[in-house]
Amino acid sequence: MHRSLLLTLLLLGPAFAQDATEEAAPSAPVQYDIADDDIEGELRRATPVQTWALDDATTALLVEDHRVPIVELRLQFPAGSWSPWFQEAHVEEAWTLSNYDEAGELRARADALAADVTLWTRDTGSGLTVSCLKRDLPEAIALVKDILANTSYDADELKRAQQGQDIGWEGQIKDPAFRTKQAVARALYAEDDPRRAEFEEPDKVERDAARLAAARDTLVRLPGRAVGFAGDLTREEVEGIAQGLLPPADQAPVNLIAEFPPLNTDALGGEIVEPMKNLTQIYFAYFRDGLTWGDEDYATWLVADHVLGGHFFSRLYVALRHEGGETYGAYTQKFPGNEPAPYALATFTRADNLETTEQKLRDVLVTFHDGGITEEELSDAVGFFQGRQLFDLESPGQALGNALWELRNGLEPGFDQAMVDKAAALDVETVNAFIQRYYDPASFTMLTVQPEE
Amino acid sequence: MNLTLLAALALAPAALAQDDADPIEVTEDETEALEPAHPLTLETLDAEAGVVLASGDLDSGLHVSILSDPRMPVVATQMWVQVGSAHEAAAEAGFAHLFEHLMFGVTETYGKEAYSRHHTSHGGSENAYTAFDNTVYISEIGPAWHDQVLVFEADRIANLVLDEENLANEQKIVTEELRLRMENNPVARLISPALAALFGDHPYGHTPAGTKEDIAGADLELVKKFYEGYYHPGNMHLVVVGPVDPDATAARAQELFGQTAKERVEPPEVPLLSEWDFPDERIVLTEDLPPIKVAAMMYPGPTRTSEDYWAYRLMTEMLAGGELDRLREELVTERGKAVEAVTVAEELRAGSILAFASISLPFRFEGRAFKLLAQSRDAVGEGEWMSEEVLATAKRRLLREELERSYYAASMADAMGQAYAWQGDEHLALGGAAEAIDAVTLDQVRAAWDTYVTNAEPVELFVKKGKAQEVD
Repeated sequence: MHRSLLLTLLLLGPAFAQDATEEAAPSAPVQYDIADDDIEGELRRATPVQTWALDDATTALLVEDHRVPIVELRLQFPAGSWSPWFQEAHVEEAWTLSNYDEAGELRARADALAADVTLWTRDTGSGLTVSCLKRDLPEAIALVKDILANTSYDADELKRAQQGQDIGWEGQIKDPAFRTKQAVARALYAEDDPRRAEFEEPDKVERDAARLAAARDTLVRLPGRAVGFAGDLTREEVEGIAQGLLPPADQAPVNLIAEFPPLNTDALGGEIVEPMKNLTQIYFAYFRDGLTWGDEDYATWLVADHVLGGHFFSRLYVALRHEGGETYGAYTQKFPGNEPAPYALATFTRADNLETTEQKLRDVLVTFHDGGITEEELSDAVGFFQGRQLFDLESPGQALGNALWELRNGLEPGFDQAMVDKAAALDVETVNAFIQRYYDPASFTMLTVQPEE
Repeated sequence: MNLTLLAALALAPAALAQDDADPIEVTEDETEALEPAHPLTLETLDAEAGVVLASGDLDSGLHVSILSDPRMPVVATQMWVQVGSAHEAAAEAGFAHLFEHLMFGVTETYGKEAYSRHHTSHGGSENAYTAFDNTVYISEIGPAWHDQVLVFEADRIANLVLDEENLANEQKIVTEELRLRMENNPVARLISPALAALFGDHPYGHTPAGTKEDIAGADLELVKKFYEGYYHPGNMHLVVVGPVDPDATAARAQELFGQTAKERVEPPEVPLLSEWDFPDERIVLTEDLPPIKVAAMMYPGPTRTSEDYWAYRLMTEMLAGGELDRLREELVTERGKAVEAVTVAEELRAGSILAFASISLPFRFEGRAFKLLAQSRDAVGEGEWMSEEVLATAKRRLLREELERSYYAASMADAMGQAYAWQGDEHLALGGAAEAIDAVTLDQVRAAWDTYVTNAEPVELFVKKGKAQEVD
């Protein structure tokens, strides 16, 4: 975090955008084989994902695209920040600092390759991504193998990681956007919920190189891992590379999979005020528990959510921005997954505008709940989802990323397309019946992060 | 437009040319009918892939670039206006951005929601942003719905309705945006004072957000003058990238944008950074930061049209474009004298800024922080990264980035828009810079370092934990 703090400080002023929808949580990536005649079928890009088993524990994937001599390799392992094992074993630093060997050789090699090498972690998975010119792939593969086998960790870098973490935490708690999410997380997640961790002061960085190497080694041997390629490669080429890229798989640790306590929904319906210093705005999150991917109403929720807060002339935007200029941004934020997570209507306004804005926010929800949506709104929402499919076909890396996302979350291939198809089959009565059930204002809690008196 | 029709259009002239059995007689009447429907030039960039560029100026002065690539699934459209916050008059800080918001209002033809709804009901996206040098309106949508985007764009350039009610509403909105981006966290609060201290009276001395006072002072007359004068096709560049028919799209552009009744007002020149009088004294700011101290040295650099631009660009790429940031390696990894360090290279139309910065813990005195930074900067200047191998890698990295960009219509549109806006030639974003990049030698890179770092005086900025910056 501290590096971006510094970079932001030194940027010569941000550009200013018309539309604040970028503030909203991004939608999940999708992989489609477009069948709808309304989409330009002639121009659909068939980006089939070839999938096969490398061994009992490893899936291989390939998206071929020979337009330009670029290749992408993605390794994915089924353990992320929500895993109790991941947290206890300090896999975050064990993995992301794997390329910080004492001699500095690994990063020097990456630098010499004209490649982008990224070690990443998410909530349900971790991985490594390399993007390079095709001619640099053999060296990139050799480097990846050495990163996975590295047992030396730069002690000074680990010390700096601790310092950076401390600084980063101090910075986060001064950021109202973080404090808003933290307050919602604390309200909904039980104290022992692994998802609370990212909103609380982090544990100390593990600095024992042997422990870190062991944790990293366990990660890369987890069954359920994947090796993916995209770009200017053939199946034959990939089969030659993929075999032997990873060490043999091993048993998963017993505490790999998280158990999530139920959300604290009993407390919903009230109000929370979070005071903060040095604010000139008030930040609102009007929240409750969201749906999961497996919920039979999930597609219906996508439609309702889109109408309520998913675009520039959504109900929230019209009421709070276009009619009265209370805010620059008003939108919904959802974090769908296999477990219920927070769902919020969010906005912000100047400090002396609390009552008007809060009332408008409440009124929008009441109107939405009581009146539902129109046929036109349903049609527009479905049109949005269908048309949006084209945007996931631009690059082979997107198709690969989508497939890997489905894999690590246990979703059927084509999950998002299936949801679009389900949405397209809805009628307005079904959607409005769902809105009546789910968008009851009594189920929502109003959180405001306000200037401290 | 589907591929079959596109293929038919592309093949038709070839079919006519190959057909020797039936020579075509063209009468005088038909000669007129064969007059081109647009003044743009078509160039085939990749015959096998069917990639064609149509570019040139319309009668109205609008420059148009259409990159037809049938492999892309979506069409990106960008309208680059050669006006940004750097062109605002005194007491009009934030006008360019306020005006950008107003461009999404009612026109004589369409209601306020029409443009947005067209996009969202077909899965598209639309937005705009205001930067120092340009304001850019962006759209992405499936090809079936692209033509209407051009219709909307032409309409709001010619027929925007400006009224007090909408102006008042947008003044409130942009003020909320200003608060969001500039006031409510420690780093945001530093941006305005840092810019003001660094640039002084230079047009880059205030952010595109402007000031609340100036935004509140905007009136309808001034706004209309802005629209009539600056939002003239002669100050604009239309970029279209995606699976479109280049000829038909060019003709459509001529039809929609080819005429104007407006009188162009040229935006004022922005002083070059290389000629600007930057402060001699170190700038010191405080803010309610985490317990750190930040020391930065900033060096003005060349414009994109400077002779040594590519040498400079490759120098910055070699310095920090890859996995290793040479300053960080020197100051942090090897010497352990800071918690973090970074090299930042930013480009503006009137010049570049190269900054070396360190983050230290609170015990580090100001003078010592700068001394260490200067030592590491000098050590970097003597470093092994100035080698043929590293130069070759930097060139390969720029090539890779260009190739990766070619997947995405929006990225290509952005690169083309910027290349034309700052260098006068969109071809530079389409492989046109390859020769210039390839020709850069190590000696030229060394010369760029000497010119812009060794023999230059930096502006120094120091930030430490203290009282939060006051906001109005």
